Amino acid sequence: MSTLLEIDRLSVDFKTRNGTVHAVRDVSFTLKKGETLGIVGESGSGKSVTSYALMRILDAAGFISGGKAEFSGIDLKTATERAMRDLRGREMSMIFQNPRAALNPIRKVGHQIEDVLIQHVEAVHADAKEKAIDVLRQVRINNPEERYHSYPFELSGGMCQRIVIALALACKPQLMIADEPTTGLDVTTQKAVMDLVAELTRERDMATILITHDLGLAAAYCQHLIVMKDGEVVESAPSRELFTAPKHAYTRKLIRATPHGAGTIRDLLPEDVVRPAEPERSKAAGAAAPILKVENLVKEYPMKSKTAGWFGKSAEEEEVFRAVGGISFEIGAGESVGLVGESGCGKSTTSSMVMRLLDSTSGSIMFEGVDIGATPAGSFAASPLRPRLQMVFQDPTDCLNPRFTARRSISDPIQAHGQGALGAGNQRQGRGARGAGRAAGASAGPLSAPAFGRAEGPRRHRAGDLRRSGSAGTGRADRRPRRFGTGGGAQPARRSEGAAGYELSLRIP
Amino acid sequence: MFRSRVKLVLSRFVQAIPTLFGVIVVTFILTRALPGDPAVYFAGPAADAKSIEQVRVALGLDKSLPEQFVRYVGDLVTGDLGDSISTGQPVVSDIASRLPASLELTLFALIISLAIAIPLGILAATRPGTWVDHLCRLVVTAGVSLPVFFTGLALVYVFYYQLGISPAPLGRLDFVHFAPPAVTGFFVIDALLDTDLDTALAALSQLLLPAITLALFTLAPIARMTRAAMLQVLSSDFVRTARAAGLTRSRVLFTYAFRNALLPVITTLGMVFSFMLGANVLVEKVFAWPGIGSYAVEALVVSDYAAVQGFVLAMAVLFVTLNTLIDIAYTVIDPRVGLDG
Repeated sequence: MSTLLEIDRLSVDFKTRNGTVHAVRDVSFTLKKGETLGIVGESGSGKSVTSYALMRILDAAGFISGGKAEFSGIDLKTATERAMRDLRGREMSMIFQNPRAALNPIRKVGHQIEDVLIQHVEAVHADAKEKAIDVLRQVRINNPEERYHSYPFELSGGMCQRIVIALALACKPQLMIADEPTTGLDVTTQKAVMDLVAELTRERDMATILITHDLGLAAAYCQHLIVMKDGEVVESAPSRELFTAPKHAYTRKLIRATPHGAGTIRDLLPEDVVRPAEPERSKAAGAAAPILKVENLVKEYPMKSKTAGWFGKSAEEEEVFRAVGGISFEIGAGESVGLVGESGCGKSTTSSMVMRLLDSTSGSIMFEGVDIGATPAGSFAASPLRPRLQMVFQDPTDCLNPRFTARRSISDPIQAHGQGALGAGNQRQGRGARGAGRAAGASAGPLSAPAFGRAEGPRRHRAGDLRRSGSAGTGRADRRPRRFGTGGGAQPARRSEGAAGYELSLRIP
Repeated sequence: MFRSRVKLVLSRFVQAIPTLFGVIVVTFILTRALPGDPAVYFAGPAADAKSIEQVRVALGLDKSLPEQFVRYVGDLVTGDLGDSISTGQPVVSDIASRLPASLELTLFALIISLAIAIPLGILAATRPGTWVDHLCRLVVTAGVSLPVFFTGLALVYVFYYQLGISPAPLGRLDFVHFAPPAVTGFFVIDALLDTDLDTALAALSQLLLPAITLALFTLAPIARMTRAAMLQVLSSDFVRTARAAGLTRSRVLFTYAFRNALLPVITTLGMVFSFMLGANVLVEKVFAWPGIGSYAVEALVVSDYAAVQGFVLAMAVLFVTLNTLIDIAYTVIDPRVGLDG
């Protein structure tokens, strides 16, 4: 087999206002036809930047600063923009995370596929539609003729990812780079999408680079793995070898973080810290009354029928969409309960109702014997129980006010609840901020959030226990969320609220 | 999909009807609340109490407010907006002659403004930090910070007084030419329809300076919005996908990026247009342009009820139409509009 891609000591730099940032340093690997390579690492480790550099789609500020990158004999570093354009999509293509955002929101998906086909002279206007539908069929989309006319917002996340795959494979390239292709998709969809990618690339004898934070996923689909950290390759080995005999400490940590039957959240802690004592479990948990008791919780949304307008008083009955249909559960002291399901199954709605962010249609929510369901969600903020029920949300960068420093994000709720009798308030705030700062310090890579670090999927969000007060990173308390690494920096800032004495926190992965 | 679109467009028009009725009510009440007694004004300085009362009855001002309103709406339906006290003409014919003058000026200014602002905004967004970007910033800052009457006077001084290129700033046509037969009310277009090239050029040369003055002022928001929207869209994921698929730069820029950036630009455009129509009084004054802005100001000064009412009503109808058109442009460009909200 011939070598398709050869990367030798590739370095990528970014010019920023604060000087040059070395995002990728001395990365080397080769890829043969039909091979699959996994690049694994946390956000900010430079794995996406490496792939953007290969495609030469880096931001204006980024450039290849050293090393060699050759794709079937073409020097990717010096090739003209025109030559690169012909390579992209035709010889090497890419699929992205967050498929819905990766498609043009106001252009029919069929037309987007046609654009690529026509660009690379795989089709002319006359037969473009037919060929586009054929491509859709190849990625197993039902009713490709109908879907051709769909806009991305009309499709599910998994469908959108299939469209993105269709775009990438339309011109039958030799190399496909998949950048976190399953992040943000449901578990069941994840597998379907990965299997589709694996099958299609095997059929066409394509080389694949899978970029992921998920070591388990990479091991399942790749022959060879590269582990990256802070812009450098720390380990490179065949998948099996990497799992059985990991050499680097970071690889070992990644392996521990990969979910397995007996794993606990504490496996995610770094090796070199002193672990705090396990929280005590109350032995008599069964005997005591549950802290939270939810009974027959229902949430219904009226569906506006489209036809009922000003004139056509059509006698259609008002339809109702049932988001949550009679859920009951209990949580005792010291217990944790998991709500599991696909997106759209109602788990977020349920937790929003329990947290009193949303009014329920019927049912009761008893918190320590008080029916908090009776208080309307709109006025629950004033309730003395408000600080006692708290929630941690997905997408840490989005749920923090971008204009607030970490200190302000943490101190505002404390002051709002009137617990800020100065001494205690400040102490807590300092402690929370230090915790957040420590985590931010731990995860802030050379390139933090703005361009490359998206939320890295549910698994990484289980940040470690931050109740211990860290020593490093005190100065980070005044940084704004944008600058935190998303992997664990921003999230703990919220989590530490829980640490400040709240009793119940539900997590939505 | 297409049928639901059409339905959406129709429903937008239907939604405009209550707004218009509200406008009629509000203008009626507002003009009645104006200080000054039109009967006194109309009766003249030598009038005694009796003749003022006669005028009041003649104008229908002695009736109760609801009664006046019913009569007013009845007149509206028949297309009668009353007579202007100051010009002595029916308000409808006054507006019919003056509104096209304002519209011609405003639309022409808007075209000039768009032709400069949008390319400038796009260039600035694709080359941030370069000289184009700085030029854009300079133009934008200059555009908003110079008052219209100042740029207007400066232009007249340079191009008419010093260089003598421009005709005298005295209205829509110089005395040599006659107004073309009215079709659209826009002199340039009407003259062209009449195949009278000479008049068309004369009208255009009269139009140029005031239009540039207005355009300079409206450049700023449009250029700035174009730049901001383009910057945002260019950094989005789908533009990266398009680039990774090897699409040409122009395709990425226009089919993918610009169409998405158009949405906020159109919103700005609507705002700028309504703002221009109302605010070009100053330009009309400087260039002796017989537009609707100066007409309204004169009417307001002398408590000319019917004229003010007619003006406000015409503007309101224009604004409502404009907003509806913008809504429709939105639904045409963005398939998501109207389906989720």
